[in-house]
Amino acid sequence: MLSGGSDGVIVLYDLENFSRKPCYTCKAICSVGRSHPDVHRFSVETVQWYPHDTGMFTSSSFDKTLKIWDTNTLQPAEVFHFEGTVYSHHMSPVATKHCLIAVGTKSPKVQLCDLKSGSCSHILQGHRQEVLAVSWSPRHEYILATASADGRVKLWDVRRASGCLTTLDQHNGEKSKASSEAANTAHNGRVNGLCYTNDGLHLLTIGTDDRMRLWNSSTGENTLVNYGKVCNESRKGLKFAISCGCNPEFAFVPYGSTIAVYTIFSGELITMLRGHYNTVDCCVFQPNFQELYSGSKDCNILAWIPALREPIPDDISEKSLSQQHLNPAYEDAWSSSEDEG
Amino acid sequence: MERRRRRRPLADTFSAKRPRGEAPPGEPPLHGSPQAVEAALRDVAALFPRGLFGDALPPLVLRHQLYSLVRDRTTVDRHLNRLRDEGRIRLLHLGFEADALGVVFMEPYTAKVLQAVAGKPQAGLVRRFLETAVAACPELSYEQSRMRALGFADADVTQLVAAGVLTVRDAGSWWLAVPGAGRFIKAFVRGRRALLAVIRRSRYKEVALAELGQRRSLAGARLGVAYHVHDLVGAQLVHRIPSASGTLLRLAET
Repeated sequence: MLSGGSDGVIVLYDLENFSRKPCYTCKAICSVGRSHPDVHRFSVETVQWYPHDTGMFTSSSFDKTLKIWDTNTLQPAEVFHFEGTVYSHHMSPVATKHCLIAVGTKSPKVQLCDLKSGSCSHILQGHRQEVLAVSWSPRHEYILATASADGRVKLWDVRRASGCLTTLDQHNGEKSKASSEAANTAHNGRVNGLCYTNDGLHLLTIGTDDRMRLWNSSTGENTLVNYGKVCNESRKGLKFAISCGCNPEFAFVPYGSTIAVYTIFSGELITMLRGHYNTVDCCVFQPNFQELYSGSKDCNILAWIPALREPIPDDISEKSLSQQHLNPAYEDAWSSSEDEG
Repeated sequence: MERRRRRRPLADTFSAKRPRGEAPPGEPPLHGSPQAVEAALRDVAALFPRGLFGDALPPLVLRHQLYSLVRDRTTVDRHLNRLRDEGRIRLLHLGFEADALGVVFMEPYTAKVLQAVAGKPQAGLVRRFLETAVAACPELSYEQSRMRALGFADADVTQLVAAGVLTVRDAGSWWLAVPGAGRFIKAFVRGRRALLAVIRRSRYKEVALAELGQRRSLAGARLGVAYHVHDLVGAQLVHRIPSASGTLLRLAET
């Protein structure tokens, strides 16, 4: 797993658990530390593996650069410079005909950088304020979604010269619902995070108006699923994750110092995952292990593993209580004898 | 002003309690059905104090109050939209918050509006407006072009605004409104603030629900404690927590 920190450091972890214990620590294999000559000068905002193999990875940071790294030598193979701080970048996971990296920066123009030629080949114009999140569709290799601080989410086909395909409208075209300034916006505030579902048919967006919305990605229609208040105070992008391979699919959204788990299509809040001591900034789902990894301001990355638990029977007797299998992290080591101490 | 966030005590961080199969007692059922939504709507409408404003207002329910009775918000929204399209209820923009929509049943609404303008010169115009525009278009607001198409000139619209049936939204568009709703909104905002202040002043930012009904300092809650509690829980400003000694209302953290 690749992780970038707010001090500019990038660390690679090995997630395999060979220790056969339910609680384990993943080892860091290698890192681009503060002493590396090409380390990022400010906070690393987004890191992504090269979609086809782990020989390469990309990282973008507040120091206005996007760096392409060779994993084996840990040297940057290419550096792209921008005029504003880079909030987010994404490379298409399904692209075979292009190697474009979409970059969202402080400027309202979305830049597309080509890996093959090493230059910024395209600019997508349409937003009015900084672009906080970008995401390629996992279904179509030319469709890109971008989210901006002006409250708009735009879907683009990068082959078209003329402009965006659709701007998502939270009221689905009913102009009567909003005040006139908020017409044609996806959220009533900055749009912080974007995530496509794995089949690419739906798009989840989250904004600073404390709302999360689910959109049909082909028509751009708001499905009006109501998740309630999803507190969001982040001034930069919020990275949340959608599960892959579960039925029903879940969204894992950082909510203060906890992670809220919602069912995507019904809007139900399943649970809050508590474990971090400070604000959770990002979470990512590993579909092969079905595990969630979350990073937080308390300098920890936690791994959340689904626990296989049987429901408690209604009549709890003394005998069955003692047979409960409790995770050793929750067991206390107090002695039960009253004679000691 | 820097917002202070209350940090949860450390013991809360690792909660080793296993979730039970069904919802904890005291919480509303999870999956709402249309009947549950309609029953919830009637329950909250019954809590509305009719005599308080001299019986001039129809029972107003806020949409988020229903979320405290039926936990599945998406079902509530979808069923309300269906009732609105059938013409049995009306959604109104109340004006104190961007998202807070009021829900009224259609018959009490038309009855009260006509009662409010009875005897005034605008009565005939208001009746014509209710029969054509309000019955035909189930939307929250009206544009100038739509009003002209329905046969209401600018002078008519001015009279409707004076009667209180329309409120100005923007240059050339108006929200549908209830005449006399200003007093309701003032009492509502005052009551909400009073209740939140009571909870905020308590030591652990939580109050037992049973005790809340008996406090004398809640003279500000003129619409009734139960009505305001549904509003606070539905708007996610407080959490309703079942405990061994009854239900507690705890202030939400952010």
